[in-house]
Amino acid sequence: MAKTLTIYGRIVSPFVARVVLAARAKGFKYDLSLPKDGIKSPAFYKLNPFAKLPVLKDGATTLFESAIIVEYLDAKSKAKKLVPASATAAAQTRLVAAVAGEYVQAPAVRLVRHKRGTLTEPMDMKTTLQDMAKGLDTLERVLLKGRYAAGARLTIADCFAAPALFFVAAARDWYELGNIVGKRLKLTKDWASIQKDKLAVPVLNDMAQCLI
Amino acid sequence: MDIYGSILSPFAARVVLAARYKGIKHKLLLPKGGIKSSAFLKMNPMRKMPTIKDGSTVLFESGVILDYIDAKYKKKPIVPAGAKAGAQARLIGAIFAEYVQPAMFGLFAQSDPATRDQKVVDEKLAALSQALDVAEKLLVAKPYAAGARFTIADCYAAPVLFFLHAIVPQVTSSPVLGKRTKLKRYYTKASKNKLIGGVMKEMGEAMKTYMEQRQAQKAA
Repeated sequence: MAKTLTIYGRIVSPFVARVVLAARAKGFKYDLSLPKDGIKSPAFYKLNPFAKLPVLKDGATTLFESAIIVEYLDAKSKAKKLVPASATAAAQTRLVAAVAGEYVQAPAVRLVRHKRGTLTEPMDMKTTLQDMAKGLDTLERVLLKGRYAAGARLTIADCFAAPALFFVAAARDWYELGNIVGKRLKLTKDWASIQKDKLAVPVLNDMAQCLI
Repeated sequence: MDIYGSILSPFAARVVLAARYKGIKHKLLLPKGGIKSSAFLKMNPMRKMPTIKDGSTVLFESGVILDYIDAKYKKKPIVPAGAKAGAQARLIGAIFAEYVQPAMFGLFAQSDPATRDQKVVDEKLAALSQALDVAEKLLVAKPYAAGARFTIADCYAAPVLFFLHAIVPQVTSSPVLGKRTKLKRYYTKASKNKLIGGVMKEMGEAMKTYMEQRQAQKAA
């Protein structure tokens, strides 16, 4: 009987959502919870001295940094691989994940937080919108053919792309940006697949609940 | 393999370290026409380095490239086998890349005394100190960053440690690594290591050239 993983975090965080999606895709049992006395407690300091979420606890193994946790979860079992076996396919898949996580997610989250009044630093609207468009263009370029981000199956690329695109959609709705995915055809298809995926839908719904 | 980048960039130096360790034939070069050329834009729409070309495969993002190199050239793996060992080596790398390096670059931006903001320096030094404490805790240094063999952790740690020793003395008289014994041991051994020390030396030469150019620009 496999042990239950503990994922510390809140689903609305795209960094946490990546990890949750990966755990679901791998078929691992997990508890998603917040650290008992908060992230600044001495107990949590032992888990992650940088006081950030997500943190994964798997028996005696404690990890932080979402990208490392996702790779760990994939390496943990041979079934349902989230990273393809061939070097080139694996790299292309990881590249989609990196572009979504670095260049699409950051501006999209800033736009949403700005609207919600939770952004602590000033934001230049025009630059942030341009950054998001550039990120989406780059994502369209690196996406592979197929139903999902990196082909026919859900991969690590979707674990990163789904939360990022969730925030793009939230920014679109709140700023009334219209059809922001626009003529990016691969992106349109990937986002449609994710929104119908039975692993991703509950995660996206939970994220949406938190933003209401 | 063509690696587009400069050895002085810790992002590029990571990739060079991995390629050299694996014994992969490679060229380190800058894009003809610069990173704003349309030819380079086709390779990397984000116009960043490093970017690599290996046959028909074009990739960017140093972390993605490192994993590619390790998967494509299987001899002398740099990500340890096993989920746990792999994650531990990656985590050491991430501490340097995500926490030590940004604080360090924050200090680099303050290296000119004429434009220095001491409040920013103090903030960055505090962030750096915290990041180095975590690095000290996770580092194995026996003698490599994650244990007895060279790994992905060294690709990340060594270029950052080189930079730290070049930058920190410009903004504070406190010792760079303080009393962190594992980090000090690692840095000393790494500097003497043929592969890692070699890259650090090249970074030092590039740094010297860069500083001379900056001085000349200022004087002009």
